[in-house]
Amino acid sequence: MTPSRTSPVMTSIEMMLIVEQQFAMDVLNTVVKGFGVGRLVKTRTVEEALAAMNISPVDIVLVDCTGAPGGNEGVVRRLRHELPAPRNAIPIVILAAHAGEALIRSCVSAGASFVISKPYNAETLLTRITWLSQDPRAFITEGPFIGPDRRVRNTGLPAGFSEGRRASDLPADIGEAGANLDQYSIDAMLRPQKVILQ
Amino acid sequence: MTMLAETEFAKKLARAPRTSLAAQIAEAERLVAAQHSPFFKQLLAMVDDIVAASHRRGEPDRAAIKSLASDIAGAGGLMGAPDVAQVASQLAQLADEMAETEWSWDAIGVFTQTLSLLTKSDESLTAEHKALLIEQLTHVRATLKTRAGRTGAPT
Repeated sequence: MTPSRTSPVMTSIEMMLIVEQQFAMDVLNTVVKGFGVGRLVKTRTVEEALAAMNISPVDIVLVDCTGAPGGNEGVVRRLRHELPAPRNAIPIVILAAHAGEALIRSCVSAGASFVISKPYNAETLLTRITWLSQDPRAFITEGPFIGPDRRVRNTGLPAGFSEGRRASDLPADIGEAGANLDQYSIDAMLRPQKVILQ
Repeated sequence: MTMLAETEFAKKLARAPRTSLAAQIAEAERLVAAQHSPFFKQLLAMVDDIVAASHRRGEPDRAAIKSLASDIAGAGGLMGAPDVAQVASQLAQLADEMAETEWSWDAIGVFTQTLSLLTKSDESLTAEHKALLIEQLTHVRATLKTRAGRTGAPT
């Protein structure tokens, strides 16, 4: 008999939602309430979010603000840079309708902890949120980058070093946006893997 | 150096008792389904806003359409309305395809009709509605691909 899967009770969790569209906010709010989240702070813009977090910190943030200046990445970057440490190290999850590889990389570079592609279902959302509680990555504050350690996948040599055994690596230039990735591909990009230096 | 597993969030969840994952998911879906009608009224207003904004700009707001279609698909799935989710997923796919080809006002027409039908429906779509919508969407997608082939645009 397969043992039933379990998940932590979320009643102690304080969560912030930064969602620009009222409909998306209401659906997300309802879903996380169903998960039993203890306290929910709902904001529509990054300015509101920063003001609210300076008064009362939260444990995790979900962002769905494609139309904000700089998009979801802009919101995450501002949270990482404008919140004082260690408050800026909270997990930040982006919910994105556009989930091409270049966009996922852009979200990671902005400091997102995870990206969930829309349409999402309740199981995907809950399991990815709980994954973050066991995230083995370090939190990096180095130069312009603030966020979870991005060195989770070997992407090859810098541009201009295309010869030799790494010749088949992806080029550094991003080019046109490709097709949206499915959630499993996004997971593969974000779940930590050790880098092998040779 | 801070490790993410040492954040307050991780500590709280590590201390929390555990419960059935299926029960948590079922409760979330039950709450969303209970809000079915108000959610779809909001969606109808959003469709109107997007169409009005698109006409003002002279160009459809593809990002908004894609995002809205994804939201509808997600809501349809959460509400236990798989027909709505399936049609909305096709809309999102169509938005992607249109972003890579020349724009078509015919396509936005089908978009808006479809979204309006989806959002006016208080219940799950009937089989006839669904068949009609998918037929329309398939036709528009095929037309766009043919047009892209003629002009050499990427598909």
